[in-house]
Amino acid sequence: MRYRLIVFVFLLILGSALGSWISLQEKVLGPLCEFQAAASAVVMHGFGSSVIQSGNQLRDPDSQKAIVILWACSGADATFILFAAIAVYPSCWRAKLKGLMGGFMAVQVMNVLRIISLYYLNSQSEALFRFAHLYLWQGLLMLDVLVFMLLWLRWERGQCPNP
Amino acid sequence: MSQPLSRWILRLLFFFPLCIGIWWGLWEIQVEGFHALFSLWLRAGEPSMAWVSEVQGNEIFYHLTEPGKALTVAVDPLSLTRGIPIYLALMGATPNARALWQSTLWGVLLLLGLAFLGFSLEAALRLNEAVQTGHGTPFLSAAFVQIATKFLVTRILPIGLWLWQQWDLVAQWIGGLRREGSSI
Repeated sequence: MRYRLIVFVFLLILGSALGSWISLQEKVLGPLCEFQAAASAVVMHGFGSSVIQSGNQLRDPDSQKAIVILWACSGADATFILFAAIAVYPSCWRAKLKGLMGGFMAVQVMNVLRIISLYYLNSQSEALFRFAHLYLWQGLLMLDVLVFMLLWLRWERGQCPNP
Repeated sequence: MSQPLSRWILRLLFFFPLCIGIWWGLWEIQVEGFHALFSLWLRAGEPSMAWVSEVQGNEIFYHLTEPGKALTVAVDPLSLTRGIPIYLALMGATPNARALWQSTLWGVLLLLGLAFLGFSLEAALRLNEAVQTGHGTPFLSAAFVQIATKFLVTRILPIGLWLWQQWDLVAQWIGGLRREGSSI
């Protein structure tokens, strides 16, 4: 168990280093941010919004207020923590693979909800937007990761053969 | 899904907004506290550095006043203490939370102490870089410290601390954890 914790900590340090690597931010996280902006726009259009999506930017055509999804808001850090936890846990590879895919979706869905809520808050109140952006949603994303991890741990017990 | 786990998730949905509301209500105390403590440290540790500080909203601004230089660095203490409501919500939602008040208090003090340590490190690095280079913008080392300390103090530790304190309970909820050495 101890060595798995050490590997987990090492992966987190690696994640911190990778997160500050400019090339990774541009080539991997940049397209992810654009995808999230597009997904958010599709959902909002489905509810009758006239939001305009351009790259990683979502703009209100009436007020001209816009939000820009940067790499720090892509949910990549929360995803990486979840991936590291699933990777080090002693489980069969099939369960891990499903966990990684499910975990990625869980974080992305939550992040799209975050983007949509911040878009509307930005139009209403800068103070509320700032609070939700900097503090509220950061906590919600981490709790999302924890809840998913606990659910996956419960699920995987019935998936992998016993030794 | 096990009933205790589902009940805990529902309680978490109630406790997290409550805890973050309380934490946000105390933002001024946090900012002024960090401001006072770090200013004391800076005065004692860097007596030759000429600076003034001010609080604007939830950010603390340090203005370097050396002749020929007008540099400002800004640090936000709340970005480092925002892990505390996560931890409080996790502990509050746990069954028999009232009996855990002492361990919760220790946990909060630990997170607060580490948040201040991270704040001091980031502020000191930014000030040092500003003095050396004449620019008020952070370089990679201060940026890396910012990312790493926020990652640790606001994401990993609140959850890690709760897991460490409630390990047996969590193991019961999920039907037991796999042991080391299982051949999978």
